[in-house]
Amino acid sequence: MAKRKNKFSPLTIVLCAVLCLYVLSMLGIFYWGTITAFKKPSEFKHFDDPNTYKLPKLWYCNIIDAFNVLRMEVGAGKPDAEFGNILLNSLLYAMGCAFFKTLVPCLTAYSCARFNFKSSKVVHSIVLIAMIVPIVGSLPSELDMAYRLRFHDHIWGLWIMSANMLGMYFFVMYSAFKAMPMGYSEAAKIDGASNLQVLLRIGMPLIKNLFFTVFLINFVEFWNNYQSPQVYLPSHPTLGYTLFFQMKSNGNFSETPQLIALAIIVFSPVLLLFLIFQEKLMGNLTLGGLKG
Amino acid sequence: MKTTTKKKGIGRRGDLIFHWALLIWPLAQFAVFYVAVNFNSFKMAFERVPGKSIFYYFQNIFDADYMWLDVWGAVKTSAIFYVISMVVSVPLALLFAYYISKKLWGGKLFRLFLFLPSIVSSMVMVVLFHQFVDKALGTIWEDLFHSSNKPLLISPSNPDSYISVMLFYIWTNFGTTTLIYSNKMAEISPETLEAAQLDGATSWQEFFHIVIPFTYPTLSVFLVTGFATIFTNQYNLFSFFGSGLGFDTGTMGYYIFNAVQDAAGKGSYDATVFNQYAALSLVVTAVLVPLTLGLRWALDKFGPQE
Repeated sequence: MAKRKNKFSPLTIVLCAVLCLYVLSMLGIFYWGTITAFKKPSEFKHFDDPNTYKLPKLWYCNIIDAFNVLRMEVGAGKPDAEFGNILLNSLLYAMGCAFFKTLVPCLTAYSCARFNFKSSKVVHSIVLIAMIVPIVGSLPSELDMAYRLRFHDHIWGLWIMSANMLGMYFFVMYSAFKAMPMGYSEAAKIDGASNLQVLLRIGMPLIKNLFFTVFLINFVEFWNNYQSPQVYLPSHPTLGYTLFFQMKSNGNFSETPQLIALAIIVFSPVLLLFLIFQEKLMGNLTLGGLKG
Repeated sequence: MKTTTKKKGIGRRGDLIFHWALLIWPLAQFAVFYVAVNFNSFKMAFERVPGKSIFYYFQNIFDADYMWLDVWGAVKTSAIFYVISMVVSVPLALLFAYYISKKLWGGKLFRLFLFLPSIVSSMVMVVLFHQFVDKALGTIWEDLFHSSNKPLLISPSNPDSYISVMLFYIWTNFGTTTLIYSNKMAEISPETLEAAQLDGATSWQEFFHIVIPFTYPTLSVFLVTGFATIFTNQYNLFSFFGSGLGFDTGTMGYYIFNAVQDAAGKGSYDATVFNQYAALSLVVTAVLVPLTLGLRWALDKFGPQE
């Protein structure tokens, strides 16, 4: 059957023009950011002749400066955090939280989808209700709880706090496990496999792509989040929080070219992941609606 | 026969044990960080202050000399931001998704660029936008139009800042929604669209009479979830202004986060502040839950059918 070809109409021509402008605006700001990151701060804010948008007269790499100069105060009596510490904090925070935030819904979804007990339905309903009911501002109470349980200011504390079953990905994984034929696990059990072996050798390998995609999405989310580290990890600044702090508090790396260089450092790992796993990140986002 | 039943019974018990072994952690975590946290919100909000009523923190919220003007300001700002973002963002996202789903020229590229801001840290986008608008746009404007009026300067004291922040919010928030809408629209059968075209339907008619009703279940989810976050969404205000905004000029999400992070940032546990904002959170939740459920009911009842 011949493939139907869509034609342009007045509406789609206007939309095409608007979208082209959108792409240009996005490219424009990233282009401006990139050339600004390679200007000397003194050239950018020169009193007589500031160079705020043209190509640099002298190319200067502020990104390298970030590795050598950037410092963050983490509290009285403690040594300042240097770039290496900040990067390590970011990696530990984002990778750990993303891993647990993916693993827990995955195992919960497996337990509910593959075992037909009343508790499976109850847990499924709990996740659905928690997702629908909008609770505003549990932050004061959550912070209070973090202080009491001594999770505050510990990266492992945030790993535990993020290791929950709630959220959309529970349902995504639940559907994936539900769609898996029961025959696989029954055959394995007849051959003497335990439930754990069925999970590790059949269940997990079948959804490893989905698991990885959800992990990636969660990683990007935690990497980009600066407010949780600001509140929960005052002594462990992450790159995202450092960027916010430098912009707001006139830290030692707060000139525009330096800030943009720091923004590029924060953005680079995510951009790299996006370029490599573009289809995984974009391709798995479909939603049928809560009604469905 | 008896042995088989016995084996089945043992297998079932084994399954039950394994099922619960997998559920212990998530349920314990849920009990502490959802149930107990929300219970703790009540406890904090109703904590007794010597010599005061048990509703002391709630009374403060409605006290015109203490919090009410700030709270009311935050409610109004949240509502304005929500309405503007809905009126502008939702139709644009639907139209962009329609274009992408038609697989016309540049569709894949547009999809990529619309999605890009969703994976970039909001802080990175804020820094780029803020620095560009404040430091470069003025010079570009001056060189192009020989006018020294700086457009859209972003500063807490400049009322026009809100226009910049709103523009920024709309500019960076098409990603996920457009992608999901376009995926949903791609499911419309080509025969349906072809039949409409044969009957002489224009693109607008196709969009309004076929595409929108078909996408409606997904759209209604976004409308409900968007409404549910009306009082938690900061619309990037904290990223732009830090603690610099007046209490009555930010959104509710900004107002609560700013106060709590400020109290937490002082390094010592300040029960009074935490209790006060726990009470405010409860009041806002009590208002928002019925409104959200009502909106969901109304969208289900009165919305178009596929």
